[in-house]
Amino acid sequence: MRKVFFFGTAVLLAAGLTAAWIWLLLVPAQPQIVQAGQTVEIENTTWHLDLLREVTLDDEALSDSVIDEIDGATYILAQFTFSGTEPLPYCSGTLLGADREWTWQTVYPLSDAMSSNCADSTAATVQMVFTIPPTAVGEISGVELRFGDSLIRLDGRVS
Amino acid sequence: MLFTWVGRYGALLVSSQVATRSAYLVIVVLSVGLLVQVSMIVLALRKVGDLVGWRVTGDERQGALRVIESALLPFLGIYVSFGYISDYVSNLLFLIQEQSDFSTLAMFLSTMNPTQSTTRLWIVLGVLVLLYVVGHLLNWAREKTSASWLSLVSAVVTAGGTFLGLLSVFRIWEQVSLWFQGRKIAGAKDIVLGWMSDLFHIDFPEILAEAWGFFTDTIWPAFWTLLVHPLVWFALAMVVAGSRFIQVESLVDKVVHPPRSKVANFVRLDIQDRVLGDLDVKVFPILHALRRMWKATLPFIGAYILVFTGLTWLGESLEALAWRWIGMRTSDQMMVAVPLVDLILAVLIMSLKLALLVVAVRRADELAAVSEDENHTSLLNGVIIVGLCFVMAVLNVVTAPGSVTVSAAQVGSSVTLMGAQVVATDAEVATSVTSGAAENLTDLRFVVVHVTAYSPYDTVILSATLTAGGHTYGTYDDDELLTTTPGFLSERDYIFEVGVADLAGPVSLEVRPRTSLTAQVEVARFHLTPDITGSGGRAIEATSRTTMRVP
Repeated sequence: MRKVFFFGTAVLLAAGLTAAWIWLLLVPAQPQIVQAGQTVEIENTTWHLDLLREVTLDDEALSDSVIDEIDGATYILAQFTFSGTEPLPYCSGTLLGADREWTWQTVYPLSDAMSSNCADSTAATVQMVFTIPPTAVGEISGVELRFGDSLIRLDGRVS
Repeated sequence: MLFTWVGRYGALLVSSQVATRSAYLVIVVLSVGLLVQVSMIVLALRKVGDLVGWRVTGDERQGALRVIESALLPFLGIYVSFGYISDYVSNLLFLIQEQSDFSTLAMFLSTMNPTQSTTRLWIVLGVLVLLYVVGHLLNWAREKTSASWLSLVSAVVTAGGTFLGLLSVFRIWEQVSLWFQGRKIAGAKDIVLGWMSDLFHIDFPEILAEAWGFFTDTIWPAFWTLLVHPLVWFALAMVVAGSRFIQVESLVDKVVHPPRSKVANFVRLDIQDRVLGDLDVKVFPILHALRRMWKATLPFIGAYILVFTGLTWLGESLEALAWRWIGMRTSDQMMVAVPLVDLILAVLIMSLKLALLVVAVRRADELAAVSEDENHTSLLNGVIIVGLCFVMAVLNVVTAPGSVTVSAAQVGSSVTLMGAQVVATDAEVATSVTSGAAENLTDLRFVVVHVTAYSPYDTVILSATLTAGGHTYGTYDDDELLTTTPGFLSERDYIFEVGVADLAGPVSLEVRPRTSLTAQVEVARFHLTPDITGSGGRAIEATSRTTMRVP
């Protein structure tokens, strides 16, 4: 009886663990989805997607940027208004296409040369630049932001 | 063994969930997970040992907690020495990255990076000192009381120190190492080697590199993993079986007379406790087991090592077959299957090894009980058996189940790697390569191959090496990556500096994807036909920088 109990416990634990493992890895984290123009509040921060537009490398908004020029490429600028109780050291941005995505190329403002801060103050304008092929502009549906445990999707079309 | 597996992957799963909240909590979870794993192995050994009738040679039959306590530190020693703990940490880092993204992983690692700021350095050093003090206080309390559970907590603290070292303190060593490499003394080594080459007209760096490569790739894995590994497991099984032995400390007490001065005696005892205490709990059980095995005759040792190594080989082969059958390629797909595939080694093969261990311990006890005259084995037989074991170990390393699938590719034709279409041109050979304003010259030959890669949907990272005359060359500037971005065509020149004689034989470029986890790696091998005629003095333009364009 004792053997059956131990064996049963081990098998149940193993099955539960396997299920949790597969669920956590296969079921993607569900982002908090925000419609275009709305503000999202999450983890003591608020985010608003101000701009999602096509830019050229001589655009005024990108005057400080260091972006590799690619023949025939299209550059998309995503600009957010961030506010939080403290600056945000890390975040990552992904531009969402139909069945593909592009990671951000640069994040501004950079508080100093060595910093990779996402938002260097409690109230900041965060800019991300994405480089995509021109044929992909029509398929862009928004930007996904990740910081810490939080994942938010800010819907929007390229203007 | 299933409980051990649950302890391992349960701790990994919980750690990956708490990693973004507190990096130090991860160390606690991993340490507790390690304690669960080790305890389960010890209890399983004891349980199976009882079934085959282990004769306990100690003073009395010890309780389960006492057995775990006595075997815990040697087990931790094994786990560190044979890479179990570093594998454990690697899996955690992969898991964090797969569940979130690289920025989360970077944030987790940066929290414990002592070189990032003075505050973090002090925090890490403070935690280390705290672990050291708490560990010693627990050991002291354990000596004063009979509470075995204190040893378990002490082991968790010791494991915590090891994890902190692997996740954090190694960066200090890394910084020291980088600083040293930039000093003049590091260059002196090359000067001495060059001087010896001139003196004896022998290419010392080449010979040393070959010898070192053979030693690290073949001899050392064969010796360490396949010969020492089974013996150390045997030693631990003996500790669990309850075999007693004289402690080194008590031997020293008998031989060394204490100094008259109280202060000198205190210092002696303190040093003795620190140095020999560690030997007693981590090293001496292994030496003792070797002595007992020797008594049990060399054929026994040889047979035991052969079966243990056979089981290891069987497990690795089954694991390779499983990966081949599952057919996964990307890291995120693989990470899902890692715990399931690990059931082969962690549960099936480990159970068989435990059965082998308990039977081996029992047989060793029986053989040790027989008088030495009856048990005599000639030295020649012993040497032959140990030699056979070593040959088998080397064969095992050389014929280890491969995880690489190589497909031959034609120059100028497209081959698909992880969804990316890769094309390589034929090689150009020159003695001068101009990249922008910079000109690089060589007395050997530069071999330049232009590679393009295109993936419509994924980001794929590729790397390349050149094989010529039996040698494998890395790129001239050590930058070997070519990364694709969805919808763009990425291209670059791969530049290799190659000996002229090596270009006389077959030359090939191997392009492979870079993934954090690699079960089945697809490699494209482009057979090149470099024209070396008149290459001396030839100059070509090339750039190893990746450029992108819209196809």
